[in-house]
Amino acid sequence: MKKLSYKKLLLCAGILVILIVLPLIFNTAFSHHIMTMMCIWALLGMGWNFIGGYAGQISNGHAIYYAFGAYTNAMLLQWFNLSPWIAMWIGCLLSAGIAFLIGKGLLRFRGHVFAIATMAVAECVRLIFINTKAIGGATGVYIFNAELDPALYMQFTDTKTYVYLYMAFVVAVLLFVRWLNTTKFCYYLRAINGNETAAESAGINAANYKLWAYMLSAAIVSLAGSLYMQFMRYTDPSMILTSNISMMIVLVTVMGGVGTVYGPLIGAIVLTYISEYTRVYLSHYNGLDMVIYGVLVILIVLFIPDGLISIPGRIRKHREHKAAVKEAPAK
Amino acid sequence: MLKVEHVQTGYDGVPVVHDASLQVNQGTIVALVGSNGSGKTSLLRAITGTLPVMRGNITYKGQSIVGMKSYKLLDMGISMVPEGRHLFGKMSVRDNLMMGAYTVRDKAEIEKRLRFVFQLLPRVEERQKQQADTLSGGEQQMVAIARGLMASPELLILDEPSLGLMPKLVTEIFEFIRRIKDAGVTIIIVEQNAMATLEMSDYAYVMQNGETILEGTGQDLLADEQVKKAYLGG
Amino acid sequence: MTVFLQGVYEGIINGSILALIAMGIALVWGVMNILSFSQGEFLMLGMFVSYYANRYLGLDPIVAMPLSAGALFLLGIVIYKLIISRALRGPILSQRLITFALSMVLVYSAQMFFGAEYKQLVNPVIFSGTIDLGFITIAKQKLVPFILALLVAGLLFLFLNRTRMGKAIQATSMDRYAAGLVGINPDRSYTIAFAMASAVAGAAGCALTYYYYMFPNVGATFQLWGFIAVAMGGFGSVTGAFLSGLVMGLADTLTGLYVNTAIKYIGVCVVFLVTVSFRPKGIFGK
Repeated sequence: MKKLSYKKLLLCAGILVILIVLPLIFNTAFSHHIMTMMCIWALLGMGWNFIGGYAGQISNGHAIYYAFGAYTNAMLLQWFNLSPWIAMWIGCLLSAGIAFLIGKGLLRFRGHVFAIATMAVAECVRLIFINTKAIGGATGVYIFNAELDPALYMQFTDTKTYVYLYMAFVVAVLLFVRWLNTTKFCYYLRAINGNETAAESAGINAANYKLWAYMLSAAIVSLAGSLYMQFMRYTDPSMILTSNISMMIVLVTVMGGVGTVYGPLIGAIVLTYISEYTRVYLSHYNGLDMVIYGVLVILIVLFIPDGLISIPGRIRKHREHKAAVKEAPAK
Repeated sequence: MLKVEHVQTGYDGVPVVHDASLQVNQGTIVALVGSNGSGKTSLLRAITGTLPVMRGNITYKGQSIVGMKSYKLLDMGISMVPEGRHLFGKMSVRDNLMMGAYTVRDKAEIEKRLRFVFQLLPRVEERQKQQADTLSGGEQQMVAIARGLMASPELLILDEPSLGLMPKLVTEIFEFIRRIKDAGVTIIIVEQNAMATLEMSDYAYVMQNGETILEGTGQDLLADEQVKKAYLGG
Repeated sequence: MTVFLQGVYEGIINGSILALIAMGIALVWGVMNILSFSQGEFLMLGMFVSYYANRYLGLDPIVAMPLSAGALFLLGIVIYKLIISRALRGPILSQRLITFALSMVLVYSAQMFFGAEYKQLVNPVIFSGTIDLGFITIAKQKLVPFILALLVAGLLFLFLNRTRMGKAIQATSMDRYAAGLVGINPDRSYTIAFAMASAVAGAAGCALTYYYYMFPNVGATFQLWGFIAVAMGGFGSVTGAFLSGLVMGLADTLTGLYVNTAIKYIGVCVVFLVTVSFRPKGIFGK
C-alpha cells in the first residue's frame, strides 16, 4: 500500500467533507438534479477520454454506448425484473462487446474519416432503435415503478441519495482512471497517440491497444447510461442517441482538458452548470439558452484550447516565460 | 543592397539568433554557411518577415524591411526559395511557375518572364506539363528556383538548395545559380555544404551559435584554418 | 418499371441537394482541412431567406436565390473572420467542436427568430405544374435543384482550375507556406473558400424550398449525408463530392422504394465503410 502523507490525507478528508456537505447546503431538487447530471457527464467524459484523449481517435458516436447502458437497465428490468445493480454491469459488458465489433471495423480509419464513420454508425443505431418496437421504438422506455424497492432497484425517492451514490461512482472511476494513468496501458496509448508508426516499430501493437481503449471507453460510457436511466427513469432515442449527445460527450472532455485525468470532471461540472442554468432561466425565450450555451462553448474552446484544466498551468508558464525573456538579453 | 545589422530573432520570445550582421552588394553571390542549428534559416526567416526581429535592423536599398509581408517584399524585388522546396505538388510545373508570378496581372509580362526562366533552365521547360511531385529531387529544386525567379527579383534568397541532392546534381544546381547571377540577379545562399558554396561565392559569412563569427571572400574563407577544420574536414 | 424510373428521377433530385452540400463541405475540407458542421445550417438559412422573400416580397425562390447566395456569402465571410480563422490556429479537435457549437448557435437562433414550426412557401411561384413524359412525371419545380447542382459544379470547377483566385486557393490548400511566399494571402483564400461554400449552401436552400418543409433543424440530416458523400467521393475533390452526392441520392431514393429507412441507412453506411476501407481517401481523393 502506498504510504499516504499527512498532507494528502488532509486534502482527501477535506474533499470528502465538501462532497458530503454540498448537497446538504444546496438542498433543492433542482440543485440535486444538477449535481447528479454533473456526475453522469463526468463519467461520460472520463470514458470518452480513453479513446479520444489518450488514444487520439476522435469518436463522434459514443451516444451508442450511452444508449445501450440505459436501455439494458430498462429492458432487463422489464423482461426479467432484474435489479439495475446487476443490469448495469451486463450493460457494460454488452457495450464493450459492441465496441469490439464496431472498433474492429472502424478503428482503421483516422481523423475526419473516422469521425464521419462513427457518426454514420451512431445514426444507424438510432434508426434501428426507433424502428424496434420491442424496445419501445420512438416512444422510448419508461421504468418508473413506485412498488419496487427503492434500494434494490435504484429508484430512490430522495434526490440526495442519487447525488451521494453517483458521486461515489465518479470518485471510484476517477481513482480507477488515476491508477490506469500510471500503468503501461496508458503509457502505450500516449505513445501511439504521439506517433503511431514510431510506437509500432518499438513493438507496440497499436491496433490492439486502441481497440482496448475503445472498449473501455464504451464500458464507462455505458455505466453512465445505466445511471442516467435510473435517475431519469425514462428515455427515448431522440434524447439519448442524437449526434448532439455524442458531440456533447466530446465537448465535456475537450473543454475540461482532453487526455488529462481531471479534465473531463472539470468540463462536466462547468458545462452542466452552464447548460442547466441557461435552460431553466432562459428557455422561455424559445431557444436562447442553447444559443448562449453555443456561444459560450465557442468562446471557451477558442480562447482556452487546451481545456479549463490548463488555466493554472498557463498562468504559471506565462510568469516563467516572462522571467526567461528578461534574462536572455544578458547574454 | 541588403544590410542586416546586429539582428536578434527567435521563437516565442526565446532568441535563436543573438547577433548577426551581414551585407550583400548588388550583383554578387553572398553565402551564409554554418552547421545545423547555427541559426541560418532563422535569420532568413527574420529577413523575410516570418520571424520577429527583436533587435537590430534590416534594410534593403536603404529602406527598413523589418516585418514586411511576403507580397510587399516581392514588390520590392526580394524573392525567397524555401528550404525543402515547397512546391505545389499536385499542380503542373507550368502552373507552379505561374503561381510564382502571382502578383503580376499583365499576361504579356508573365509570358516574358516564363521565357526568361525557360532559357536559363531548359530542363524545366521540358517538364512543364508534368505534375510537380512526380519530378526527381533535383528537378524539383530547379522548379523551385525557377518559381522564385518568376517574381523577377533583384535579390534571390536560396535556403539550402542542395539539401538531399546527389553531389552531381549539386554541381548542376550551382552551375545554374552562377548563370542566374550572370543574368544580373543578386543572390544570398544559405548552405550546410560549405565547400561548394564557398567556391562559388563572392563573399561569405560563417554563422555559429546564432552569431556571424567570420566573414570574407569565398576564396579567403576556403583557405582559412578555422573554417577548414570546422566545415571542410581539416 | 415506371416506379423505378420515377425513383431514379426523384433520386437525382434528392442527390442534387446532397451534391450541393457535399461540394461545400469538400471545398472547406480540401482547402482548410476542417470539417464544417455548419453547412447544413447554411442550407437552412438559405431556406429561410427564400421563405421570407416569398412571404413578404412575393418573390419566387429562384429569384431569391442570388439574394440568398449573396447574403450567405457575406455571413460566411463574417463567420470566417470572427471564428474560423481563430479556430484554425488551434488543435483539430477544437476546430470541429467550434463548428459544431456554431451550428447549434445557428439552429437555435433560427428557432428564436423564426419559430420552430414547419413552414412552407405561401405565395404562388412561377414554376408550378408538371411535365408528363408518359413514363415519368417531372415536377418543374424539382428540376431546379438538379440544374443548380450542375451549374454550381461546373462553375466551381472552372473557378478553381481556370481563374487566378481559384488557383491561388488550390495552391494555399497544397502548401500554405509556399503560397504566402509567392504573394498569395492565405487568409484571403480561406475566407473566399469558406464564403463560397456557405453561398452554395444558401442557394441550395432556396432550391429546396420548392418542395421541402423548412424548420430550424432541417439541415441536420443533409449534413451527415453530405459528410458521408464527401468522405466517399474523396475529400478535397469538389467534382468527387458532386458525383458522390448524386449517387447517394439515387441510392437513397431507390432503396427507399423497397426497404424502410433504417435498413436503407445501414445499407448506405455499409457501402460507405467498404468504399473507404479500400480507398481511404475516397474514390477521387487526392
